[in-house]
Amino acid sequence: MEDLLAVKDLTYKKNQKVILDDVNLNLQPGKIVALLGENGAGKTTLMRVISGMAKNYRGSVSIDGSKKEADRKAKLAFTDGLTGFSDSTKIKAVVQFYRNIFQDFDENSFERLRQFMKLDPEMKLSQLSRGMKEKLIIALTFARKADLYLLDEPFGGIDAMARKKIINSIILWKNEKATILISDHFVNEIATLLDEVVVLKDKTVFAHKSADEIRAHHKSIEEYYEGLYEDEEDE
Amino acid sequence: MTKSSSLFLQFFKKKSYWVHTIILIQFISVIFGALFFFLKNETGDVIGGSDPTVINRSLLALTKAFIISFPFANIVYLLISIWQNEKINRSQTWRLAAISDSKFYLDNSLSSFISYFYLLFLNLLEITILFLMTFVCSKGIRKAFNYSFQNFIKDMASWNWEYLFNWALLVILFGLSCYLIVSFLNFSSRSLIDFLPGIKSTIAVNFIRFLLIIIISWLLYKIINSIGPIVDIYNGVASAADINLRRVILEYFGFDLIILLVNTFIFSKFVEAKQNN
Repeated sequence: MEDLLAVKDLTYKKNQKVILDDVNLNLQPGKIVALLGENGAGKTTLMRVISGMAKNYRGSVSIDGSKKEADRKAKLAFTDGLTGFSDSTKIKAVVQFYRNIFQDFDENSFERLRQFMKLDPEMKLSQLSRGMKEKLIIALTFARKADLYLLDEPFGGIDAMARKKIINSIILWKNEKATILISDHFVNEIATLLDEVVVLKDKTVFAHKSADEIRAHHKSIEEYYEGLYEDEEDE
Repeated sequence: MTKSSSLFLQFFKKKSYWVHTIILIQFISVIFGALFFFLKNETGDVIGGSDPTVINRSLLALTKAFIISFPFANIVYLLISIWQNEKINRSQTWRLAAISDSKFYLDNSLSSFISYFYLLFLNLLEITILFLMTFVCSKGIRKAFNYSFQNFIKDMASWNWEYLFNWALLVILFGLSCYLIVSFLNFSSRSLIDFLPGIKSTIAVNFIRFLLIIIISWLLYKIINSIGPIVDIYNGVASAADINLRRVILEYFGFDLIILLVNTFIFSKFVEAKQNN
C-alpha cells in the first residue's frame, strides 16, 4: 500500500541548533499512530514541518504524493490553538471562518461534535476554560474531512471522564482511510486506539513499531515507552 | 484548496472591523469636537435654541471637527492595519489555510491596502453628507459655494489632469510602500534571528532592524539612480513638474515591485507561523 505520509531525510535547525536530525517516517492510510517523546524531543516541530508551519528544513515531506505546502495543507487538519482570533470571538464566528477557509469542513459533522462536546455556539473564546477550548479545537479538527489529522497534545486540559469519552469516539469521527498522528502524554489512555507507535529520541525517529508487536513483547505500550528511558535514569 | 478570493474576503472582513471601530471613535470625537467649537464661538443663549442659525452653526462646527479628525483617523488606521497585517502573516490559525504562501502574503497585504481605501471612502461619504446638510440648511454657505463653484468650473479648464492623476498614483504607491517596508523589516529580521545562534535580546533584534533600514535606504538610492535616466528618455515635451513627478512615480513603482518580490520570497521560504498552544 502506498504511504499517506512520507518524511524523508528531514533535518530542521533553529538558531543553528539541530531540533530534528535525519528523520525518516512513513505512515500508511487508515492508521492511528502515537508520536511519543520527552518534552523538547521535537514532536510539535515535526508536526509543524509536516503542516508547512515550520520552514527552512532539509529533506522532503509528502502527503498522498503531494510535496507542495499548499497541497499538503489541503490534505491535513492540524489542531490549532485558535490564537488568530480575538478573545471576544464567538464559537459560531470561528465555525464560519472554518467553513469559509477549509473546503473540506463539514458543518453537520461539527454540529454533531459540538453537541457531543456540550459547547454553546454563542460562547466567546474568553469564556471557555482550557478544557472547553481543547474540546472546541478537537471538534473543529475532526469536522474537516482530511486525509491526515495531526493532533498535538490535544487532551491536556480536558477532565479524565470527558477525555475517555473523546478518545473512545475518535475512531468514529475519522474516515476509514484517514490517518491520525497523535502526540500525547496520556499513553495508557490512548493505547487501545493505537495501530502504531513512533518514538522521537535523540532528535530522530528512535523507534517505529506496530502496537500489536509492542503488546506481544511488553505488558503495555506505556511500559515499553518507559523502558526506553530506564537506562538513562540508571546512569 | 482554499480559494484566494475567500481568503481575501476573510482578511477584509477582519480588517473592516477596525475600519468601523475607527469610524465610530472618529464620529464620537467629532461630536465632542463640534460641541467644543460651538461653545467656544457662541454664548449660552445659542444653546437655548431660540437662534434660527443654531443648525447652521452646528453643522459648520461638525464639518470643521470632521476635517480636523480626518488625518488623525487615517494615520491611526494605517498604523493599526500595518500591525494587523504583520500579526496575520505569522498567525498559525491563518497560515493553515490551504493556499500558497505567496498568494497568502499578497491577499493579506492587498486586503490591508483596500481596507485603507474603504476607510477613505467612508470618510468621504461622511464629509459629503455633512456638506450636503450644511449646503441645504445654510443660505450663506449656498451663496459662498455658488461663488466658489463658478470659479472652480472656470479654473478646471486650465487644470493639468495628468499632473493630478500622477499625484494620486504617487499617493497609492506611497501607501503601498508603507505596508511593504514594514513587512520587509519584520520578515528579514525574524528570518535572521531564527538563523543566528541564540539571539534573543531586544537590543540585538533592534540592531538588526537598524541595519536593515540602512539596506533599504541604500536600495532606494540605487533604484532612484538607475530608473532616473530611463525616465528622461520619455520626457518629450512635458513640463518640468510632470517630468519630476513621472520620475518619482517610476522610482516608487520600481521600489515597491522589488520589495514586494523580495518579501514574497522571504515569506515563502523563511517566515514561520508563530507556534501556538
